[in-house]
Amino acid sequence: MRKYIIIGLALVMGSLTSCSLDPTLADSHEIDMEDDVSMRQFIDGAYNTMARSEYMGRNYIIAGEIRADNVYSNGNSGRFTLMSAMNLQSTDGDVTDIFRYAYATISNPNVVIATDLSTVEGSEANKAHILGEAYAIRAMAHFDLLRLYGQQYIDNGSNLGITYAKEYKAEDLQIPRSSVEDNKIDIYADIEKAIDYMLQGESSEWANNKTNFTLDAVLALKTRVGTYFKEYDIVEDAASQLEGKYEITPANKLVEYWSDSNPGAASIFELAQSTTDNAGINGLAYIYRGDSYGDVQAFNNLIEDAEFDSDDVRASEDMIGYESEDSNKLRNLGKYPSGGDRLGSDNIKLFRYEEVVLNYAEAVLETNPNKALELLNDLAENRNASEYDASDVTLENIIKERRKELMFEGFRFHDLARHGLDIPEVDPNTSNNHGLVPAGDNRFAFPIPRREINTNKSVEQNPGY
Amino acid sequence: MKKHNFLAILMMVLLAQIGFAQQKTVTGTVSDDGGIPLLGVTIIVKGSSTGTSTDFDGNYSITVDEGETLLFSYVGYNDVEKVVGSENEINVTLVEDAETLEEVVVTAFGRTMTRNESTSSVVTVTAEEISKSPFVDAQQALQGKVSGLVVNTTSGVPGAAPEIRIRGMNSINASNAPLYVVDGVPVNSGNVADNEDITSIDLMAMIGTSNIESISVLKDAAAVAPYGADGANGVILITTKSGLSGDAKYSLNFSTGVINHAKSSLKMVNAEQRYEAIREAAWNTWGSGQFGSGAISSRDGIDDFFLDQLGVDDIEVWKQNGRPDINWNDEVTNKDAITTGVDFSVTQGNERSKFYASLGYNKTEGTALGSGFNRWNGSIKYDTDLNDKLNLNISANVSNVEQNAVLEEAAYFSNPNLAKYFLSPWANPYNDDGSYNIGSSFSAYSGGLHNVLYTTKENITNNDITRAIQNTTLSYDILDNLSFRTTLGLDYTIRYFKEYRNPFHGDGEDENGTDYENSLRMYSYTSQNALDYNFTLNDDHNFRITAVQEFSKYKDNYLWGYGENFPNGFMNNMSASAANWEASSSFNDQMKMRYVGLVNYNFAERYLVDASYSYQGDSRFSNKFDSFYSIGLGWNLHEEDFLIDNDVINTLRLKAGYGITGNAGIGRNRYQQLVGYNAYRDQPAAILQGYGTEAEWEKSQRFDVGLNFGLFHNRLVGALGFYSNKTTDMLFDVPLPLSATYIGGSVLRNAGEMTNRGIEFEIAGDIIQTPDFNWNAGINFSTLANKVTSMPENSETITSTYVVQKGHKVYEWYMKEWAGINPDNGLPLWYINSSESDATTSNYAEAEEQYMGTNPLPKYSGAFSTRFDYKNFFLEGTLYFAGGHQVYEDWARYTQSTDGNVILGMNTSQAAFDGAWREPGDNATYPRFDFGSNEVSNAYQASSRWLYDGDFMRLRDIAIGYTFDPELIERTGLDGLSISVRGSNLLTWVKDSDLEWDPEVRTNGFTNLTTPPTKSILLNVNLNF
Repeated sequence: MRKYIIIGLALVMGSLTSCSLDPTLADSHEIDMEDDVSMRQFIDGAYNTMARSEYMGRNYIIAGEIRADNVYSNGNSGRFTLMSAMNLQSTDGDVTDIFRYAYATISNPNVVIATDLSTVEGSEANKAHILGEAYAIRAMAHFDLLRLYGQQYIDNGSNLGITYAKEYKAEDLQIPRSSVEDNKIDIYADIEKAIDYMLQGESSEWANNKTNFTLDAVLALKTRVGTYFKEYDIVEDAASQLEGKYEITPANKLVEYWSDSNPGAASIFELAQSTTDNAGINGLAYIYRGDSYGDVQAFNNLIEDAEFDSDDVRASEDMIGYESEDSNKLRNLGKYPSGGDRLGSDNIKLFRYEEVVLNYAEAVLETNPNKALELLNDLAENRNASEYDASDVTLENIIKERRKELMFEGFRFHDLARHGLDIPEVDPNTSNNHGLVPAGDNRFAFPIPRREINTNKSVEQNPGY
Repeated sequence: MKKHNFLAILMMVLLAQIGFAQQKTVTGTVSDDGGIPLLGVTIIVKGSSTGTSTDFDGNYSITVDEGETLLFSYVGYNDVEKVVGSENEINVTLVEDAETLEEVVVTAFGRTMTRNESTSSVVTVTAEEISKSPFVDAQQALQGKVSGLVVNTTSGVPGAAPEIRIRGMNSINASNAPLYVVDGVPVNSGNVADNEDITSIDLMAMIGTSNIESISVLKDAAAVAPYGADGANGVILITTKSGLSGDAKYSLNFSTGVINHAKSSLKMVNAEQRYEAIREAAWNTWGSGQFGSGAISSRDGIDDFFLDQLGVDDIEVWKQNGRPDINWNDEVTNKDAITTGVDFSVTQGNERSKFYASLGYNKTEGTALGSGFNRWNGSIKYDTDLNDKLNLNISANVSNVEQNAVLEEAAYFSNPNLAKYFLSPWANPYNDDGSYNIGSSFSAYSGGLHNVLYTTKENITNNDITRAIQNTTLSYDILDNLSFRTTLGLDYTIRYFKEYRNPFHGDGEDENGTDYENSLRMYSYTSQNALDYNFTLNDDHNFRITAVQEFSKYKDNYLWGYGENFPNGFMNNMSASAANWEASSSFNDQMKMRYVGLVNYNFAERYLVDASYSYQGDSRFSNKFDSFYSIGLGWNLHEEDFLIDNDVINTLRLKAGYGITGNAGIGRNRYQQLVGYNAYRDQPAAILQGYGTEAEWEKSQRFDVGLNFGLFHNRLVGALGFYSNKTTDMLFDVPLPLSATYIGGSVLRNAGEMTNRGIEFEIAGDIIQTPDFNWNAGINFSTLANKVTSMPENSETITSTYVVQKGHKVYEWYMKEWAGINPDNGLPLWYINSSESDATTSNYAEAEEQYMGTNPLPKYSGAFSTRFDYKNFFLEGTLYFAGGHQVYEDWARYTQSTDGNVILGMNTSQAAFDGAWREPGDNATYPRFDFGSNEVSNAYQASSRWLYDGDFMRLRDIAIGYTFDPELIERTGLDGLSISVRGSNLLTWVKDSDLEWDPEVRTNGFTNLTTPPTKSILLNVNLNF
């Protein structure tokens, strides 16, 4: 008898263990878009990706600075050395990363755009606003990609822009590069859709939040895109809608504006970072300062070269200076300043009113010089800089003013490039020196990453790579 | 012999209690047919539980009734029965069992067969070879023992997980690791380190080497196919030790030794050479020589130019400090690391029950500063016949390992393996007062790198792992030839990981100290039920049929926490941290199921047929089930009439096998289109994680033929075989265009085919066999030819160093081809396109990549081993060799540069210093020293300049030992005593003298900033009593 009990037990044990082969999905789920809350989560995912150090959290901004005359890489941790020397290869990590993360930022909006909103529960205003944000993100990321990888400023190119991605699918979407012109059309189209939807979503709880795209932020984007393509009527139209709604940060508040963890009055759109959610050592603060990374260093003569007035708050010791008395490395101290416990917790200020003012001034330079003078002086006044005379309202001065105001924020290279200027050699004795790069040189465009060339057979490489 | 007396008394007391009339004591001696006394022969009174066993002299004594039957049994000998008559002394001679002389092999699902019955080639490594190995991980002992099996050391830190590859690399994206089976039950295996940045820790290192009876390696189709979907990379069967019949036998093994790096590595320059190199670079850039800008008029002005014009005070500070010269290699290496191990075991058994128990301790220091390993392990195995049909076997193996890991692999600033190459000899780790030089006064002059002496001392990187493997098996002999077996195997591992970074210097400095801790709890259970039936038809048709059902479930829970800002340098738990707490948890599970049918048939042990079929399910796929099968044929020619009486040929077996196995070594839950979560504004933010997939099992078609032979009374045995593995439907992370994708940018698909082919050859002979002197020698050799035979274009991998492409070897090297240094100006040259012309260029971008025709996998590998026994001495050795592959020196951009920026930030090598171009006409091997020339800095980009022949030979093992004569030690109470000294990896020969790194690199072929393989000398003392 006993042995039957034992065998019975054994059989029971065996049969107990045969069960299903369906794994528990504990940490993820399949894509669904139930309501406006899940739409929000999808779009916030895009901001999260955008804020990563590979894209707006660091690399994109540095790419706009280090190839110009404000900063260079001292190679302390080996970061940005090739970019600083403008000696990029199609296999370089930075070249691939910016491309990868900017396009990944677009994938979430594309999922939202592809959703049939009639099946989604929740507030209509929220749904419309979020959809508007989706178009805005898609426009901005493509615009950013175009500025780096497009052929608009090289003589040997064929005016190829970038791949414009409008879908998210598990297929080999072999989308060829469009022309720069077609990219522009697509970017504007997405901006217009964003504006339409945001107007429908004006009553949404997100419409006045400075840490996501809003109608104002889209207008600011529109001024940036218009300025880049020198389509100044578009800039004027958009900028005038923002005039009076924001304030230029006064001189005595400038340092505070940059260290404040909440968006200030001049901010139109900031990517939110916090003490618990930030890029940390991979962020802007750590690359601009310190001895651990601190690779991105200002040229020794930056303050003179940029022609700051002596009282200009933007060149004050708190903004550009030395980290300690015995340091001989000139640093960006004022922008993205958080260190120590709060390292990297600064919001990434994507759109400030000051940029809109400068875009506006450039736009009306020919058609309404008085307005341009008024705008420039508005800014100069608030920076303790000497005011402009009517005769000073020149494109050259606007470019200089942009350099001073937007320094370290990733604009300088693009400002030189879009005006057909050479990239000057500032100091031949610095490491990773790009030397003088004449306008039209192949190096004005990044290489298309090798990874993309290998997988997207319809994509053509830029000349020189 | 005190214990024997004690046992005898105990026995007698027991016997007295159950004794009755006509009892008497019978004594006697048991010996073999050569008259040599046999120790440990079991003597039982048939039909009772009374029993004893012989002592060292073969003597026994037992109390029996007249008329009862004594049964004498001994492993490897035929049983003898004696009916007790009136005599008081019964001497017995046991005869060797001809059948059991035939080696028994363990095959899939714990089935044992003789070689004559099996078509598989199974290679078995015995306890002797495993336990004497100086490595804490038994797998390391397999190197050179098994043809076609290559062990790649990933780190010399004890306990680090090696990469085992059986017959090459059979998969690209799925796993290449074999399946591990302990006592018939598949177990968790591989690296369980928390992250890739630190030393790996092997789950197999949790099993004490002294508890292992044998490791069998299954390679061929017929052998691995029963494991179906898990067998594609081969199977490693580990059998743990079992109890033996007889009186208690104790074994104590003690070993101790010293460990060092097996080979010197890249030699760096000293302080004065570094000074000279930097000055030379400055002169070539800004000086008034052939190239400089003229900013420096004479060489005397170089140092001032750095200080005044460049604002670089490194040189000035170094001079002020008295020109320190630090050899960082010496500083970060723990020379003569000590290893100590003690293992104790006891076994005892009688007719019905046997047990084995052991306790072991091992403490081994690592050669990398701050690394080390210690392990406690205990095991017990108990086997008992509950009645004449039911048998119960219970085993448990529990261990705890503590491993102090270090940062490894990549450019982590506190990686000691990086420090020895990257740190400047000018950076003094100590202040004048002997305290550590830390903070910015160190890092400002060390390229931001940390004072690794301080960080390894103050930081904690610790794995604390407890693992318990427990198996319970109940077997029931339903009939003589029909048995049922059910096994439940539990495998439970808790890994606790702590990573603390001190507040004063290094990675934790900016956060004022950080602590990251986590706990990973892995549990799996496997339930296996098997029915085994054998029968014979018409005398000669022998059948064995086995049906197996198996279900296993794995689950893990992961929990981590993080905190920053510590009050001081000695409190290091999160409870003391003040800021930025973070925590997270996750859960995974995975299920597998299989039904297996096995049929073995032979006709009079002459013609053999093995067939297997398995139907297997896995939770990792959307189509959960698939089938796998194999067939093996064998012909024992030596059983045929024409050979059966042959004096020369004793064994001659032809065999062939074909089978389909699978590979499911991919991540969990990948078949669904998933969304995970991150955060934005402290709210959940959805991150796309992949497209999901319809992909199915990767398949491997194995085919092998082989010939086994044994000549001259099997004094010369060998095997020759050919194998071919064709991997089809390769599971591939097909990279998608980065435009329009999620961050990962790939989708899992079945794409591409690859073949691995080769021959395997083994021969071993007892060359001299005399009573006093024995000499045997053996060699094993295998070749590997790999080719990717099919690969859709969109699945290709093309990097600046290797490709995975149709028509090429897997990971074939592919890079720009180095053409040397231009003697006129010291600039690097590359061939523009060597397949078309000899034209060269100094413009890196202009040169085109070329296929190098080699990959990182050795084309051939093997070992030669020999052993001499003279009286009580033995001398043995194994020479391992591998070659035909190439390895790539990574990190040369930072370690071997002539670019002044790099040297000023890090350091450079002796080879670069000696080989750099100095003046026109120089036949240099390195470009000129220079600051910021793109041509010079491009010389350190990927090119064939850094590709070396990987051929090497290593004296894997050499040992000398002495076994004491039993008579000599008898009065000490010992049954056996032996002493040996063993050296491992003592000599290394590398074909390419330019390759300064250790040639044994991980499978990907890149040298790495990792702790190199080690050599050791170990003293081993073994006592049996």
